Amino acid sequence: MDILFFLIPIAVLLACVIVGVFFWAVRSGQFEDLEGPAYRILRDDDSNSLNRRIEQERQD
Amino acid sequence: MPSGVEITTTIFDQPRPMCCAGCRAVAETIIASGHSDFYRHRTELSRTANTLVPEFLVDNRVFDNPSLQRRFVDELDDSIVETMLSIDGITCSACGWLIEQQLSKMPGVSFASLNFATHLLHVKWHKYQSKLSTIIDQLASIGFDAVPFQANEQAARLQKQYAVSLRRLVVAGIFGMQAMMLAVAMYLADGAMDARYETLFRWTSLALCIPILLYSAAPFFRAAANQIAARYPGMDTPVSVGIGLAFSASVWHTWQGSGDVYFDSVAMFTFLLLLARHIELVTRRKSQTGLLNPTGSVPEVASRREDTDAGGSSWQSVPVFELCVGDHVRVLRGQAVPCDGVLINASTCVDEALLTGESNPVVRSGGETLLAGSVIVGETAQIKVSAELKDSYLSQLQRLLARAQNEKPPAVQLADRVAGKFVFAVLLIGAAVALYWLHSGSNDWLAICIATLIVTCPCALSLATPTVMAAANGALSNSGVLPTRSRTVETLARATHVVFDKTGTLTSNELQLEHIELFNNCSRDEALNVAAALEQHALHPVARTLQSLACKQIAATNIAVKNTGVRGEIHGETWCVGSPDFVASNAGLSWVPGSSNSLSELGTTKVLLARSGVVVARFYFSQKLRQGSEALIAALVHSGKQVSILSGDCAEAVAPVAAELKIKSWQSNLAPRDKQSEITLLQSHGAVVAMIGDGSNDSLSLAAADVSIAVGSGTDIVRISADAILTGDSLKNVILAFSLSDQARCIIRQNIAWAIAYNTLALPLAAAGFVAPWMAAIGMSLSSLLVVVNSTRLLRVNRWS
Repeated sequence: MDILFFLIPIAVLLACVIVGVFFWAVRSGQFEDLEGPAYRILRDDDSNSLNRRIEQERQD
Repeated sequence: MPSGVEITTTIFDQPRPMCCAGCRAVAETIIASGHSDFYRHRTELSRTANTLVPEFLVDNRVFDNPSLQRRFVDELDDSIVETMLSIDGITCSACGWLIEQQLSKMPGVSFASLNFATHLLHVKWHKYQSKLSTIIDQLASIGFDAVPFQANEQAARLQKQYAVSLRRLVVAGIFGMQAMMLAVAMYLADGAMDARYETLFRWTSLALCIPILLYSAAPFFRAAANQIAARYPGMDTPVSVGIGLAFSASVWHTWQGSGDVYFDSVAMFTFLLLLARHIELVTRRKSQTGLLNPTGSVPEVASRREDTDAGGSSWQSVPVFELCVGDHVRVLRGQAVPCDGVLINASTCVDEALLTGESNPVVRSGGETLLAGSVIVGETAQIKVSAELKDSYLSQLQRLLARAQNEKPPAVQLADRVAGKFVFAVLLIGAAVALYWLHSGSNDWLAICIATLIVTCPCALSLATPTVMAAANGALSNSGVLPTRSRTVETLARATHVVFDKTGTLTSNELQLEHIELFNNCSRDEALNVAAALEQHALHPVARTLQSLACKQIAATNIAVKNTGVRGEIHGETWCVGSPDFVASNAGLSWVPGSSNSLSELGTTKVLLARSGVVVARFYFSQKLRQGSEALIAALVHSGKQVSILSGDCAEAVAPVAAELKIKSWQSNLAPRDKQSEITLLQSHGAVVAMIGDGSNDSLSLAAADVSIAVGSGTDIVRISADAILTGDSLKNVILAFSLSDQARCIIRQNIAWAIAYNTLALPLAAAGFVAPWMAAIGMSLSSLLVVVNSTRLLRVNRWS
């Protein structure tokens, strides 16, 4: 069972990594709107969509 | 110290040099508020001018600039001004108490009221005795950041709070899970674990708990410190004492290598409590949609026509608040109208859902007014600004709504008072329990004390009502019934009687001319023209219809407008137009035509026109029921409310409407004062009366009722003092208002009943030592969580309908 002395610190380290990744996700705005994206794909009018913008930029 | 600067402040009877006016102001604030001990006990030097002054003082002075203040400060009279401040750092109702107390002590501040749900502070102060910057400084000195409420800042602030709250929650969650995993192993082993593993587990748990305590639980400790400094413990105080005690005891036992550790309880308690607060924050954020949504209702920038020197013109982007009356503004398809304005081009199609709750676009033709916040869905519109954004219909609605959100409803006031006293009791009981068990020689005295403190914290009690109220007001305003008072939701739910006005409320304001009977050689055109000339100053719906039917303008003199008719002179002859009774008594009729039976049965309004005492024409007007009135009456009757009509119209006009809507109780021929006394009579029999009326001539009865909804068309409706305003046309929305209020009341009752039942049950169990700290943590947090989740049901109801 001495493996625990190795595994538990690794678990703690992993938790720290997870928290770090989560902080990054919050900062990059991924949690700002949790409902909008679900409806956005249903909208016919996609003039604001990312694809359209990318297309326009390419044409420019 | 910089050379050449001689600024000093007296601290502990000794003049001390200061580097700048900013630092002096900080020092003086601290001394003046009796916190000079800060200088005796501080262990680190305070921040100096480089970082402190720009944030803390210079920025605030900007708010005293009159041209900037125009954007968010309203003048009530010559000297009193008011504004809304958005406050950061509020965690519970005690913070609100502290802020209100601190401000009301300030000279020149006449009113301060904080809303827990929106974190908006409503202050009124004497312009010459105090300054806005002083008020903001005062708030900063007790630990709260305040910014004048500007729509976008509130949203940005909420966004920041949300992100911080989410981070704290997840830190507590992830490290908490690890700590719990280790705790489960220790519980299962029940002391039979090998000593080296137990030491490993304990120290690991300790390490995992440090970020939870320092980062996730920080807001509890900060709030508790403020509360203790103000000598007014709020619900953060027992929470902090509980967490602090549990953690210190665990650290000590870990160091000693013996005794119980409660790291899992600390982690779980923090996580669940943060979860409850996070859900409360999300609820508040979600209810900020539609009119309440400070962003997105109007654009920041408008396209204004600027005439160039060469005689041409170009479109320039300018900030919306710079637009003045008379400017030409262009609004492209898909954009929102930035301020109220008259449409210049032929026609366009607009979506006014935000303002009226009506989802179908409407067509507006040239000369009509487009309202700020409506979205152009037709052709690009050009408008001539008729009101600045600050004075627009949208802003007026938003101000009314802000007032409703900012007042403390009676239910919240009660909850605040009860919770405040309860915290005192919890702290005393915690101490007494600890002393008792210590005295009786128990080893568990600390665990029992921690459990008691945690289990009885009245968080559920003070969280419950504000969340429901914020959600209810938000849902109401989205459904087209705009609450203007905080008591609206509560009182609508209690209403036993619903009293309607008829004309303009149950029936639409427009009357239709069905038929004209002519007598004594009068022509149809002459009858209409004369009637319109007489009615030109009257406001009755009959008058409005007649005015629109005239084909030629005639001058009338000596016009006397009465409630039921008008008398005047045209070309030396006396004319009367009005109800048959009015004409009979005012014109001295010698002959009245017999009524034609087929028409009188239709429930039409009859209007006579008489020339020099001779009837020359009889108009038949029919009335149309307002959209949704049948459904509303049916729903009200179904929910057991007494429905009645109080109308100023004649019985023949009221009876058919009452019959069609199946309303048994109706009265006709009532003057505004009679309606008022009818309502007072109902109230004296114990009824709670909701009055739904046309604002223009029912203001007396609207004021007399316990709760009132003003119905009308057009933008004048914001000037009526009713408790709620129907912003759309259809009465169907009122059904939703009643059912939402019922639901809100029901949820508040459930919440309070639960909070009280839980506390009365948990307190004796914990004091008697039956509750371990981990059970207390689960019990208390789940109780808060239950209450908050229960409140969010109101948001879901709204989305489904």
